[in-house]
Amino acid sequence: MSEMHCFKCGFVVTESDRFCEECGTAIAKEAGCECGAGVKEIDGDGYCLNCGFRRELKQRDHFEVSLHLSLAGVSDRGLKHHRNEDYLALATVNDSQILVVCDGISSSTQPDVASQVAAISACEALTAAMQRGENPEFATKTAFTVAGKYVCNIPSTVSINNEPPSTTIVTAIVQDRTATIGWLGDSRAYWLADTGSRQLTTDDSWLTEVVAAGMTEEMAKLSPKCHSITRWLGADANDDAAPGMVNFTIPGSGYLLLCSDGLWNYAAEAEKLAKISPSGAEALIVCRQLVEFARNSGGHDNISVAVLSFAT
Amino acid sequence: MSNFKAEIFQNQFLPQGSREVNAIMTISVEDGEGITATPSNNRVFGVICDTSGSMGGNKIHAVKYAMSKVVSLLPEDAYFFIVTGSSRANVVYPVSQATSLHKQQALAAIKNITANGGTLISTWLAQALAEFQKMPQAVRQALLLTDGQNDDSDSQKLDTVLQACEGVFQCDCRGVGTDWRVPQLQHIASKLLGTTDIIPDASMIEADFQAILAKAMSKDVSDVSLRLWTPQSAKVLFCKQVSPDIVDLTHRAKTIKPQVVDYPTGAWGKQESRDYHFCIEVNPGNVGDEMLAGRASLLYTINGVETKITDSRILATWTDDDVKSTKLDRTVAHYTGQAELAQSIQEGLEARARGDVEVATSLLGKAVKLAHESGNEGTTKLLKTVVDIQDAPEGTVRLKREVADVDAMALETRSTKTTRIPKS
Repeated sequence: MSEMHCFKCGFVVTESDRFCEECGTAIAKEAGCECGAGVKEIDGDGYCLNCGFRRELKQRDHFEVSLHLSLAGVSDRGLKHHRNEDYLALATVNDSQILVVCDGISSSTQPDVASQVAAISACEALTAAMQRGENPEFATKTAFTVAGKYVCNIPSTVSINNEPPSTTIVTAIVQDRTATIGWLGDSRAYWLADTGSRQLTTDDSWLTEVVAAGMTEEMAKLSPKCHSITRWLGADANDDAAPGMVNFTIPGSGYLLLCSDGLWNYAAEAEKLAKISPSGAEALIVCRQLVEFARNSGGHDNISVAVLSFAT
Repeated sequence: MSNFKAEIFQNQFLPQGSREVNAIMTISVEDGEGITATPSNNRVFGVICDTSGSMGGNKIHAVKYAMSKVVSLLPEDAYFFIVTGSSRANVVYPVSQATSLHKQQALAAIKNITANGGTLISTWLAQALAEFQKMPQAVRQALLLTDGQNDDSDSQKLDTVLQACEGVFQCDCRGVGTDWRVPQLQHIASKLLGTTDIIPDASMIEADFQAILAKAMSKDVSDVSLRLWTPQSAKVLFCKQVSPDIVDLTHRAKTIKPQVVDYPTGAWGKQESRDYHFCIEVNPGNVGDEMLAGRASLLYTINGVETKITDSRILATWTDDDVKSTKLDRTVAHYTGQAELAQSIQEGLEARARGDVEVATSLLGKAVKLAHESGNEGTTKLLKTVVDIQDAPEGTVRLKREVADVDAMALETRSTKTTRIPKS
């Protein structure tokens, strides 16, 4: 990436800038190490030249999946987190496309294992179901049960301070221009297009629930609980963890986007996300651009995006 | 060609919360493919000799004889000079190549040396500095001989001159007889990266001078620095050379840039081997974290161009495995013991000098025990001149009632000599 732009106003910025000269927004520096040192300050053996700790650039820090021109996903550790606790999985079965994004819950133990286990098992279950020609809604519910079991079986030491491994999950099966979406938690699905962009899921979060019950969003956002998730995959989740479900008919050209909150925390509105995405581009390019946007905005959390693009 | 090899000895595993990292770095030079010496390969050897009144008689005869021997032994491609001094310095022979003509002239000049006057060492060093500055690219080594104490009036001047000499040339100091003060010469030698020793009798001067000359002529690479990088929040508790003898380099650190310091190590010759003990305090990590606690490299600079010779990593890994973290690296333990040994001798001798028999006995007894445990026979032998050993492994000793000054001074000067770790 030779030219960098301020994500807020688009002004051209250089690598050494800490603030945009035009609008004053802070520009995220590429921090390779927890101590704040840049990626360039990590030596060949993974040791940070500033704080000395070993920070090898692990495979999971940034990985990309590209099944074909229209289906891709990118997961990135972001700038501040010491490891990537997100995971994603994609599959194509005959003419069905499958997308899964999971975000390990940081306050639980081994969130990175939880998200990986959930994403892979859910994707495998969905793939098997679509191979058998199952109904997408039924397949989704079964996949969530399977993934939930796998996450619950992750061995962990349970104590007062440790929540067992937990993760969010959002899945999509797209068949014949119909997307069947299931979710638990606050990872989201969006439809992005020139017109009619919309968020397809509603977060399982304290914020959503109190606003639905009548509190204003401004008030709700003041509470420290506002980011709490009310439903998830994990040993201490409610037993009736039936996923949220929605069907969506693809109207025309555009992108079906699944993402973790590492992205939407910087651009919650569908229209904004649509604006950031390049139009008529390959799925992988769209993913990379969205991830870069999140990193440039501060990258405070892991960022995962999966995109299925529609040309018409 | 000199081939430098460096090796780190340490137990990199630390218990949770531990902050102190210890490592021994062994650097050896062997013949073979490797670093070339200073381009010109020029060596300058300077003799700095006391000719104060007290040197009169057989001492000055012995010194003149030894100097002549040194001059005749000089290799033809080496350079040399001779400076004598009392209250003033005198250039007996200026910096010149050791051709047969120059050697002849020097020998003649040596014959005219006489002893009289006081002792103002600063003047001698200042003159030597002037001579050395004529050959800035060469490997510059000097030998200083005195028989007495520097005049008190000269102390401040001496410090000023030493500051100017630091980094320009190295100097080995020798005291003949027992009227000189060990700390005085050690002060000079420490600043000028040299050794100190006693020459008990004038008749031994010649042999000692020859040894020093041979060592100087074996030096290939000059101005070698030990460069240490540490992480940002780390603190270097100490950096000591621990072999062949103990030299605390901690306060010689020169900051190159944030987190990087250089310790001067002077010139290195063929077949040399030195060990360094690093002790670094770091911010502890969590169990499982790995850290690069330090990076030590050896490098030399010629004409502003830096050449790195070796590079070693000092690591720290935090663990909850007691078996891993409580193992003491043998080499670190050995040198920690040797340093303790040297300290016990120093403090023991100080206690003895002020008449504190009980403390002296206890400390010198501890020294005997440590010397025995580490197989440091040289030091044990020196200790035997000052104490009667009743039980070496237990460290039970008795102070000798009569101790010759020369023996006490020999122990004092050589207490910093260490042994290498005994093969188990």
